[in-house]
Amino acid sequence: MSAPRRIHVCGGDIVALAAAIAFKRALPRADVTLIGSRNETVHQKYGAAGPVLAEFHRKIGLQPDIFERATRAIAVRGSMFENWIEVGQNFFVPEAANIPFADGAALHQLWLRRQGSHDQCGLGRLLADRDAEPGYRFDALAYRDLLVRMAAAIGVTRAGPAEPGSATLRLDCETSVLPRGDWESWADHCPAFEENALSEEGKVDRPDEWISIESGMLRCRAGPHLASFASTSRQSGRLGQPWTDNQVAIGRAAIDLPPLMGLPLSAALSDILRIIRFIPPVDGWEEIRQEYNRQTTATHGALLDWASAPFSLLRAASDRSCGLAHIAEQFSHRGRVPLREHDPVSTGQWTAMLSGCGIRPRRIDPTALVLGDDAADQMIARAAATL
Amino acid sequence: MDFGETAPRAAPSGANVGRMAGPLRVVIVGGGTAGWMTASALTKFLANQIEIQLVESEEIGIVGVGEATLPHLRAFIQRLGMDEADFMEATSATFKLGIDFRDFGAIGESYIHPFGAYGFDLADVGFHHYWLRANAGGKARPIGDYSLPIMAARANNFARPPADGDALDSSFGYAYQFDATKLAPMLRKFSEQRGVVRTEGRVVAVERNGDSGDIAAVRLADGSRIAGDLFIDCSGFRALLIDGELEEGWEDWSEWLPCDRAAALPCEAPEGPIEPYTRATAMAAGWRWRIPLRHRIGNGYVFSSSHVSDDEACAQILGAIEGEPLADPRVLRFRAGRRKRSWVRNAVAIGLASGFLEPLESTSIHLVQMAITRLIELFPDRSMSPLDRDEYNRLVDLEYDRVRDFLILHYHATRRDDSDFWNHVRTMRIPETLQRKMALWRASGHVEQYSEGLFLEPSWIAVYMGQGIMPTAYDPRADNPPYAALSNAMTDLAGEIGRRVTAMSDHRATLLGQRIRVAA
Repeated sequence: MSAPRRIHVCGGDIVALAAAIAFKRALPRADVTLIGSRNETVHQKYGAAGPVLAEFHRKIGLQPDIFERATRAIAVRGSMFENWIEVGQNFFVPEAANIPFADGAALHQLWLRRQGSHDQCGLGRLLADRDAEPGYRFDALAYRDLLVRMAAAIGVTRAGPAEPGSATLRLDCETSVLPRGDWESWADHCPAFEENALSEEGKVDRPDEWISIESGMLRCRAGPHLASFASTSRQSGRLGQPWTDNQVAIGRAAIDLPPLMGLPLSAALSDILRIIRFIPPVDGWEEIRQEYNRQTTATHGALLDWASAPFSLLRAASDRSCGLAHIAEQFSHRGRVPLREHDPVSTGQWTAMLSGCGIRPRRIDPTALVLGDDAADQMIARAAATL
Repeated sequence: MDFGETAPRAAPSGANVGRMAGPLRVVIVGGGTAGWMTASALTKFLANQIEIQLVESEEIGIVGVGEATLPHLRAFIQRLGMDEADFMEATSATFKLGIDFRDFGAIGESYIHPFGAYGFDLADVGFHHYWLRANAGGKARPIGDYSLPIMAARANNFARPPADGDALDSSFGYAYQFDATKLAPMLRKFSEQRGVVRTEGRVVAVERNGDSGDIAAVRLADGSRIAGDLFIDCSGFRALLIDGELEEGWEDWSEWLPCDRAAALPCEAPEGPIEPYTRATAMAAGWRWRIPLRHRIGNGYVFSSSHVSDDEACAQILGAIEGEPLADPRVLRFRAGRRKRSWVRNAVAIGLASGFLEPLESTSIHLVQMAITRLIELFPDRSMSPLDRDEYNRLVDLEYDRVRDFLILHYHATRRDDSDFWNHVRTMRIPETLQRKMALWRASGHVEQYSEGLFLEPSWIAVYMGQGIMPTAYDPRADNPPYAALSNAMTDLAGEIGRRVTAMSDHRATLLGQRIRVAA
């Protein structure tokens, strides 16, 4: 079976390096070439990614201790949205969440039923999956240097923009190019941001990531890693068809997300893992392209719904994307998140976000009303005790 | 412990959010498998929130759908809190590891669709891609030799997957083959013990609410009246409420699934092993099933009446069974398809009233179970919100449509040209959704991925390969290991599977070992 022999990865940032390394690992006999400037600036110094980062590292053979030491990475279980709805109101959105059931009743439904009746921990903490991989916040510059060394060590070559020759497959990770013609803007639903400057503040001695927004500036803090982001005129959104001909757009070239919860890098790494699963044989590209685009566009749509939630849920319903409007409507109705194909966000995470943004269902599932009050409280308390 | 998350503000309705003004009155029209499965699950999980009345008539027989099941039924039994051994004894059940399809791709060919995977993935590449490479080099055994459930089925052996087993041990699941006529009585007892009220009677009229158009009550032949808030139509093909009263349309799939009759009969169980699998054997105008229970064999010929008469079909199934018949063949009529909406106003159709897909992959009971699960998830209050209805209908339709495509594949993926029936299904136009799936497989060896749906990758691979639809390519990463190493690893895997199968008990002995009475 003939695999693609010449793979060109355009770009020089973390996403391009990650893609080049992943392809070289997947196809050791292929020529994988990074095309772009060696000194391309990293868009962000604040590194952030969800649990997919640990999965990605396993697949490329990067040891967790090496990554953590080199990038001063800290594990996070989620993001605390600080003063987001109003001053003094925080809510937590876990990196991974699940919804346990007991006697047919979902834990979050019991929580919704009993809310306000006694001291409760927030729903986000309650639903966090403590057995899942954490997300990470880290020094993005150091991470880029680590990937540069790894790429060189495993045989990824480099070429300037003028010398690449022809490629069997081309991965477009260039973030500087203008959006292509089929760019679908989500500017009406969520803003785009650019990292402004590293803060000079010292280490924040609180677990997890804290996110706040003030005068249009987004601030993220996690352990020693601090950053502020200013909104830009760039349009958040996505490409309609990320894979055309022999060219696949990855990272910000395919989807532009606000820098919340490690979403931009998580989306890019997930796309890289997906394209690796769909490495085309010599023939059969068209069918694979279609399937990749079908899955990727569905996933990107779901991610944009998710990324826009903390912004547009607090505004008029008309500002919401169709997908988010549907989810919010269903949750407002009975505290249930509808099932969606290829949504990488779990129903537990959605529940934490929707609840955190102040949406309270008009009713709850009758399965949550079967248990007596004491039994319901005990279930919630048992779950909280494991925090 | 303070994690910084602020205490939630009190909800507008506080602790009483969602409380109903008294239990919701649920009326189930029709007993049988669908009716009593629905009653038992609703009373288990909604207990004090509802009152259930079930109306059924002993004058009306039950179809007794599906003697063969899928592994999902185990979860249903477990969630009801029933003991597996009790359930198996009450329903004369045997274990099932898959379905043995014979003569579908071509006469003389066969394969088992297992409840499990082939081999296991390596470096994120599916086992079948490595097998395709080895097969191209002439070094692979038939792919079924790398499946633990297939090899166990062929040996008539069985063991439950151990809870603490390794990847190979946990590579499969199991289901049951049971006497469906015994399931409903068992669930009836379970339900009545928990407060479900059964009313003997035949529904002769339906009352509607003049303002809303909702169903208000059903009237029985004896003149009695049963009022309710939510009506569940489990009346089978008669579809008394969803069709007879609400006149909801039917989406007809007979252009793709032309079989519209089944001639069914039991026969005596032969001496010898009890097969832990169901058999499906293609016939000139359809296919026949063979389901081994402990005390008898269930048989049936699913056929297209456009291609064979009822009498001919009965004669053919009588000639094909492997034991003394215990009854004359009974001909059932059906039409493949589903209700355009299964939930209309305050009536939900479950089971045959909702849709019918022939039992080629033992999906009948699963589709009932799926509908019950969705109904519990979206159980309404008296307002009967369209949001619940729409979401329920979306999810039920999705499941039916995906099962439909999978069943069509069994007919369309054939080289048979020995009868008008097979020529028709081989050359017919298939749904675009299935065309796309088959094109992807043929071009790359990839199976279309989805998160919601009954049949996932291993099932599609089984049928594609089993019926001779081989991809022209495989994942290029399968070329990474040296060929000799791959060949040795596959030989080792087949050997290990053989050892595990040998360590299992004979299926009959396993049944005896769990105090189930087995006919000598």
